[in-house]
Amino acid sequence: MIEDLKEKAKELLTSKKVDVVIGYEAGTYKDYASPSFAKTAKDVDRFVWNKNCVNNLAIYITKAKGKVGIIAKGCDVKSIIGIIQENQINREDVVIIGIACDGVEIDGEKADKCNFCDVHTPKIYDILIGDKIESKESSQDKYKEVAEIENKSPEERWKYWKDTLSKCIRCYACRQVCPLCYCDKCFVDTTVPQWIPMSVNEDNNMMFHMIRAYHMASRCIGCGECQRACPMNIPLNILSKKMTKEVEEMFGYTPGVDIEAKPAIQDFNKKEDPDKEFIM
Amino acid sequence: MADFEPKIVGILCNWCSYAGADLAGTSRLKYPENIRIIKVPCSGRVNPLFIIKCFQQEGIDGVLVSGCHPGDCHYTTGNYYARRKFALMNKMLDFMGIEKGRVQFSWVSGGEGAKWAKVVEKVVADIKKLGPFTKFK
Amino acid sequence: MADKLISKEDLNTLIDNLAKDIDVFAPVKKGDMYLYSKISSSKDISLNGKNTKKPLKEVFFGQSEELISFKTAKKEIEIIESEEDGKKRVIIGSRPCDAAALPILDEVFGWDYKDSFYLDKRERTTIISITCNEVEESCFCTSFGNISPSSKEGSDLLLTDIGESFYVEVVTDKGDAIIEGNSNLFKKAENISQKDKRQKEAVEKVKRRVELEGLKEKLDINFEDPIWKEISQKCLGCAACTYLCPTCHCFDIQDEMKKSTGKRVRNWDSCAFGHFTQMPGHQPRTEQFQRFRQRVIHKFKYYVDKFNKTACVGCGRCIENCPVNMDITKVIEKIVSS
Repeated sequence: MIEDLKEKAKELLTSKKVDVVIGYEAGTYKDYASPSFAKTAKDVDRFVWNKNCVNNLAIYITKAKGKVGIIAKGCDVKSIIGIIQENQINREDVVIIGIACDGVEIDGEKADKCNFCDVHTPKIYDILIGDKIESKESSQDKYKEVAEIENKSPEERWKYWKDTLSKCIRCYACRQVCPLCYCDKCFVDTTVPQWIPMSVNEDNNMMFHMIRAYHMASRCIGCGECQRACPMNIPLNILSKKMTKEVEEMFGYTPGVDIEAKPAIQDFNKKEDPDKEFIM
Repeated sequence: MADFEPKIVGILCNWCSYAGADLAGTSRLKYPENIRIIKVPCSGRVNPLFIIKCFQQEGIDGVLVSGCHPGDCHYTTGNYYARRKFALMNKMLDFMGIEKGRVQFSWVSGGEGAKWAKVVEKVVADIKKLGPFTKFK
Repeated sequence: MADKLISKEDLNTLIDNLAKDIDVFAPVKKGDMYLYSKISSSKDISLNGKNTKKPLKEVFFGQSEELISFKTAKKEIEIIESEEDGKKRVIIGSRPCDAAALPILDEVFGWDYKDSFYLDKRERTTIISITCNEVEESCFCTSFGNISPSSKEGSDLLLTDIGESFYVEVVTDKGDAIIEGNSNLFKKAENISQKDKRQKEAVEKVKRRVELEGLKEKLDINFEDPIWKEISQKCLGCAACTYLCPTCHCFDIQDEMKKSTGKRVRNWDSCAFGHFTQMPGHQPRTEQFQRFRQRVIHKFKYYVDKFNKTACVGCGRCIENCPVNMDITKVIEKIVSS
């Protein structure tokens, strides 16, 4: 697989179809893999493909200049679909080297997202590496942690989030690592008006995380990078999953599936959207 | 708590709800004075951050967001987008553990002065029951 | 100031005694990580030597520190100075690398403007470090001449686990005062060979190493080098590395107002952020590579120029916590060999 991958990447670079290929190289800490940028065929020799290639490289396509080739797992392709849907890049400017993937690991454990994977073979790609893998319906409940919190009382929920988010140091790794957080200026960085004060305390942290998750509604494809990147091990996935669940239930939309579809938040349904349930 | 008088921020669209509130006034309808109104061009303009920002302020106990009825938007579709945003905001606030009723939504047209008075009465009564809002302070 | 011995039981007694009158900070296990926290009993402490998630600087230079508060009434403004309780404090079980970061911070907080908030806390705090039992894969402290898993830099006392008891090396008068005040708990030192053995073992456990030879000379001249773009390419611009760094000390002071009250707060800030150097109408560092370059050059050149020491202690937190595996040791290697 890796030989095939390297060959295809080299071909793209030597034929000048792309200016850079974004892939993985061996990391230097534990057995991590690390993002790698190949500008020449020689650089491609650094590339690896293994269980540790967990990073979602789609984050780099909105930063890269020129035509980009990108090694993408099924889940990463979902992010790319989202980015194209939102007109951040043109489909023609990216060559997707899709990889048939049967799961990646974080610190030797299967990544959470892989338990519910429905895209072992990416939805769209220009080149496919490896043989297509059929996706099976997962028997596990994707929204188990969400339901656990929903079942608490409002006071318990408040306490849970207050405790959980009090750990946050606002390093914004969750924001920086997210392929869909591409805004030039984040709401939390503006000073006039200053939506969220800079002080790190439970209240400000909660407001930040509420709005961060809210901004991801109908856009988050569940790659789990925010949670992986968080140095304080905050379960940020739960917030994003809650939003995804609500979007599915209320608007019948799943992000990262259809490149032609309008994200739910940029769309409406005159007759069927919830109305009387919560609006007087 | 009997003498608790909540302060409520009303975020109203210029074309319907603001006119509705105006009509309530010119019709000399009585309704609780606990609400402070901020006018915005359209309910579609209401950023969830407005709601969050309200709660950071000293003494604010609730927020009411109101716009034109679906189909009546001055900008044709603004309130349809707003409706989806509010639906999600509502779920988000609930999920974080903020009591139901702190943030309320309504459609009030320019002719519904009486409805406006009723909506405010209900919101004030709900928030009186919940008591002062001490989160995010 | 002769070396002493304290049994593990007596150390717990010492901690409990100290916690009665003064503030005691120590690594505490919280969930899946260790953090320096105020403790009230020796039961809470974890001295197993695992690296804490956040560095020791937090105890002296908090992430959000209130400097003053104020009230407005009509046209009058009343300013209320933040008052510290002035209590003596002890830190027990800090890693030698974390302790070594403090003299580095002392320089910057006490150089031109004397930062009373930091210096006051520093003045009334005694630091009791412990030779590392466990070494993390990301540790590279031995690459710096004066720092190792058993170095005394920045500590007032250094404990080394020699089985039944801790061997206590006295570094400063402050450390000695702790012993003086609790002399019944300390015994005459013995078993030096065991202590030396443990310390040597700890040093040998540090496998990661970086050669700093020639780095400063390179940094003196390579500001415009295209290598910066190449090595920083994967950096995403989060502040995990800077916030968790024991020597990073950049901050931003902001006034946070409510209706009639407000406070002036000093918050950690990070050179990795895009808005860090934003001024009205001008941003000198528009690209991520410039910000990344700043971090490296600040630590290994500007600081050396000014204070004649490197602003890195090799604790490895930036390596461990980087979401894209940006490894400072490899970055240095690449610069040196460029």
